[in-house]
Amino acid sequence: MPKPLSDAELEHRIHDALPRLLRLATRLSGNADVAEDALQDALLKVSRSWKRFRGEAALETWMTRILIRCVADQLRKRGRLHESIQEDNRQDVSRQLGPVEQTLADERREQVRLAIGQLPDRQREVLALSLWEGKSTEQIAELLRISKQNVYANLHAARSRLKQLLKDA
Amino acid sequence: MNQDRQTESDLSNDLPDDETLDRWIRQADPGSSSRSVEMLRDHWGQCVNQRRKRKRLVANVAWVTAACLLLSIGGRSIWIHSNTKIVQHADAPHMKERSTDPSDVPGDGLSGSDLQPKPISEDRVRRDIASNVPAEQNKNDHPASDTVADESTLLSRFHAEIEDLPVDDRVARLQLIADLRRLSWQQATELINGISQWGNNQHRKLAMAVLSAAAGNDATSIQVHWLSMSATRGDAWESLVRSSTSVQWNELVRLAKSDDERTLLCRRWVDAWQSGGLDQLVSMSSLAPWRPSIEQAAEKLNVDAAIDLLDRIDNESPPQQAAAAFVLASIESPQVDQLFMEMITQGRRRVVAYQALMVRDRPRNHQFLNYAQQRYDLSPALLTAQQRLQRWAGPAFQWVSETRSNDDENENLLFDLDGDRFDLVAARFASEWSGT
Repeated sequence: MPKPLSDAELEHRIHDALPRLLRLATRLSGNADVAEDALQDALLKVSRSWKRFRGEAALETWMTRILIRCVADQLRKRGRLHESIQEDNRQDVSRQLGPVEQTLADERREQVRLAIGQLPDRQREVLALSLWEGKSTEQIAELLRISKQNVYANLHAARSRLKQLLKDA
Repeated sequence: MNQDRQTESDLSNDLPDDETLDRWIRQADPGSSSRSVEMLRDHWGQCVNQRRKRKRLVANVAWVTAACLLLSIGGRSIWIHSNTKIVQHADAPHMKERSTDPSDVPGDGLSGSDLQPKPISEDRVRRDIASNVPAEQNKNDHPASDTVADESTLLSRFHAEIEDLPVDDRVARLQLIADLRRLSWQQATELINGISQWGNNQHRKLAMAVLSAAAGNDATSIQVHWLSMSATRGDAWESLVRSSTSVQWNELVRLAKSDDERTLLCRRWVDAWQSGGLDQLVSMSSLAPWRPSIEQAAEKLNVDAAIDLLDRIDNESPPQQAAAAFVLASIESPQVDQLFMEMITQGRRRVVAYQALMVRDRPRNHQFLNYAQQRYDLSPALLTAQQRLQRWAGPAFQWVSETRSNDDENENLLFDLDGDRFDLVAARFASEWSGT
């Protein structure tokens, strides 16, 4: 079991983890503004509940769990996800493609992100943690507090749903 | 050639295979364009600073409280205690005996120690006079010992002043406050005690407000003193609670005597739920005398607080889970149930959301739980939730049921739900969920 951290150590480690946490929040929410707001909420919660962190889980796991909840809450407050994704998607374009391929690739990227935005929260979380964050099934199960079978089931359901949504699109 | 075929397949309308889909998903990674974290670092710095300040404040309050306690034990200070032995009516001789120990001077800000009944020193009153009265007025003042003022005359003159005080005239009120600050210690004491005999509630309330303003930093001590008199207790309590901060709440908990007073304090916590009020509501839920007041006040609790309570049910130990569940069950708004139902249907935190719905025990929740039990995708989490609920929810069900039936005076019932009684509760729920 990890040892409880001192206040200074905890401050320092969260400070260092901010880029990674922002990236995770962006992946979970699909929108940079939502991600920033969610991370701010998460930091506030962390600063208020340090005394409740008993060191039973790793700091990263504890912080990530809080962040996942804050992202879900932010999305709930702002309504569904795909509305906010649209405005945020046109920025990163592959530089290696020609103009036609680039347009097609952009279009598909946008379709995929919109489709992911329409997934139920749990499926989207599992998908983001698995494919974008590269977490193992065990890690995802621990973070989301679900069984490994449940992780597999959600991943499978997410893929099936995505295929259908992309076909419809 | 191979790549061309792949691109063609990618862009066709057929269902992509898993490998292609994963590749598309990876390409659509929104985390690849990351923003600067400078703003977040600033935000984190502010959070850390606020936390340090809170810790320092708590430490200071602890030191001051400890110091006051030591002084009281050592007999270096005589307290104005809310004990019936000391003052039921105007009792000037008692007040004259008070210590003028310099250690009783309050600090700059109010703290938990301000709510400890403590002496109002004559030195302090004199200093207030000196600091608040213009020099030329001071020259005309008589020393306290020279003041020739019949006490009954003084009280009746003050009564007349209050009766004549125009409601909206701020200048007149400030003038009266300035006059009061020039009184000697004995005269001020006479007024502080004397107003409890007034028959007119409005006049007495106004007099209390004016005397509190004149007392400056000693106002809290005077209000605590008024708690010992039945005529002034209600208004003094209201004023203390209204102006209280989180560091003073534990002291107020000790001073609260009736359900009405507890309810008023609970309402203050509900208003300040984000600033420690919710912690206070949850921690006091384990005390039987407080539960009816908590239930009454928490009706109006903000819907966002429900998420915080859900976190506690998810993460804390069984006694704290039960306490959080009791507060959650008290929130009136049906939006809370709607929120949990949405979480369940969207696949977010299903197990704990089910537990919350069961604890809240509303007819609409039962309908939803029946519906969920029929759905193959919703029922597994419901089963898990029922099993988890059995581990901790006994006291919560009992408290809710006792409080709702207004039969909650026995503190010995805490955490006393035995296996048989829990089975009865669980059986009732099971039969309702299965629709039998």
